[in-house]
Amino acid sequence: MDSYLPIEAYLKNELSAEERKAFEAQLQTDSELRDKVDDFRLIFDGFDGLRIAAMEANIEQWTQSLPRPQADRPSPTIGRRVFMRWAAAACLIGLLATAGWWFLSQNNATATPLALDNLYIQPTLDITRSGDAGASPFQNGDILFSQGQFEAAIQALQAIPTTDSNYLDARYLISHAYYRLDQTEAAINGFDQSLQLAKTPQYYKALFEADNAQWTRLLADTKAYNSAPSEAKATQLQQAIDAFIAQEPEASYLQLAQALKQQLQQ
Amino acid sequence: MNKKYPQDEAILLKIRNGDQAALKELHSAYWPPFRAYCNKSKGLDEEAILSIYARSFTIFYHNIVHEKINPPLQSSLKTYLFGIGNKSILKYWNDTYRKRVTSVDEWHDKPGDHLEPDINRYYEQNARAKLVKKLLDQLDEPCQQLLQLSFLEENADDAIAAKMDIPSTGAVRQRRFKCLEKIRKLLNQQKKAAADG
Repeated sequence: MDSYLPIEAYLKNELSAEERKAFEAQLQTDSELRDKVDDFRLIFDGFDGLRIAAMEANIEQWTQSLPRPQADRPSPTIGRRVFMRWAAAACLIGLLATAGWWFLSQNNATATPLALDNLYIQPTLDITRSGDAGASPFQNGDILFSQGQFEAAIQALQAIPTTDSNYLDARYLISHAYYRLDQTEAAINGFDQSLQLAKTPQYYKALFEADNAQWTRLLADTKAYNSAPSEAKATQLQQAIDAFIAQEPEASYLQLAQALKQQLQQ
Repeated sequence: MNKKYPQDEAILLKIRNGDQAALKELHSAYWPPFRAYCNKSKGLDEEAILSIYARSFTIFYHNIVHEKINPPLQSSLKTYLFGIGNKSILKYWNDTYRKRVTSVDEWHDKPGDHLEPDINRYYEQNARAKLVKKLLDQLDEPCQQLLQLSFLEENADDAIAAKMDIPSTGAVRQRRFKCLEKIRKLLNQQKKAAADG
């Protein structure tokens, strides 16, 4: 076994430069060791290949379970005529439905506030939440936010400079804090800013919760509507919900948006 | 030198070290923009986009583990994936209109690098994986389990000791060595048979 350990360390690039040099010098003269290294290299590479193949199978499986629209869109090249007919029919139905809705809204125009219970989804910033209190302004703000101290969280997070790698997450969390404090206008502005920042190369983050930012912005719109419901505001809110749904967010957000839309239509 | 994409580099290293959760998170995170791009800019249907995404993401993963994409990153990981995606879209169109466009490029049928296809490496590793699988199947059950936990699932020795009820990590290393020796012996028998045959 003693001879195996350095082979494994060599093949896994775990030897220091000096040890590596010495081992390679030994390889030059020891043909038995050379054979062993070649064999184990093949075996380890085979194991790597098996692991990669397993991951490929996982990728395939994950892809199959990705969120998809409920009805597949028709292909742009196949069935175009059928699609056009359906599209025309849908337009007509949409037109009639809009006219009907407008007619009803003119005759039954008492807009009511919407219930927002169970529609809010907490932001998840797990990477930083594990830090100790006070370890950094961002972690500090994050901890204050999770403790429900929203004003203190805003104050801590606002100290984060634009050059900080957590700047985007800080703006995002500040917007959530404003939302929780019912400062809807500040929340809406904050989410808009976060969503814009997330598109720029400087702040781009693969794991930025764009769906959550857009959804909570929509909830802030709903709070604004609730403060003084009117038919005009209801129409605007409905358009905002439709725009959110059209972006095909993750299934959980899609369901919430549909529930909110249903509530608005009742 | 300042890193342009420190977070992407951290994710890349996690994936290279076998972090399946990080890979899956990226797979979910990139899907909506990838899908929107293929649908809105390229007019592809849902089935085609899914197949292109699976292919592109697999190549992307290969490029990470085979160190084709390395820190310091010159672009975000998303840009790399979309670059591969563009190539995959071309391949999809090429396949779709094969009657009109002639292509005999073998690499189109296997994952490779979008910049420098390394098909030899792919085939070599694939062949080795098949051989190791065959040899692994010939080992006794405890050895199969031990090697699987060590090299495929990449468990730490203490976790393996707990799972297999082995008294110490030292004993795990001893047994793994014996199992590797067994698999090496089978490999040499295979080589000899191939040489004789």
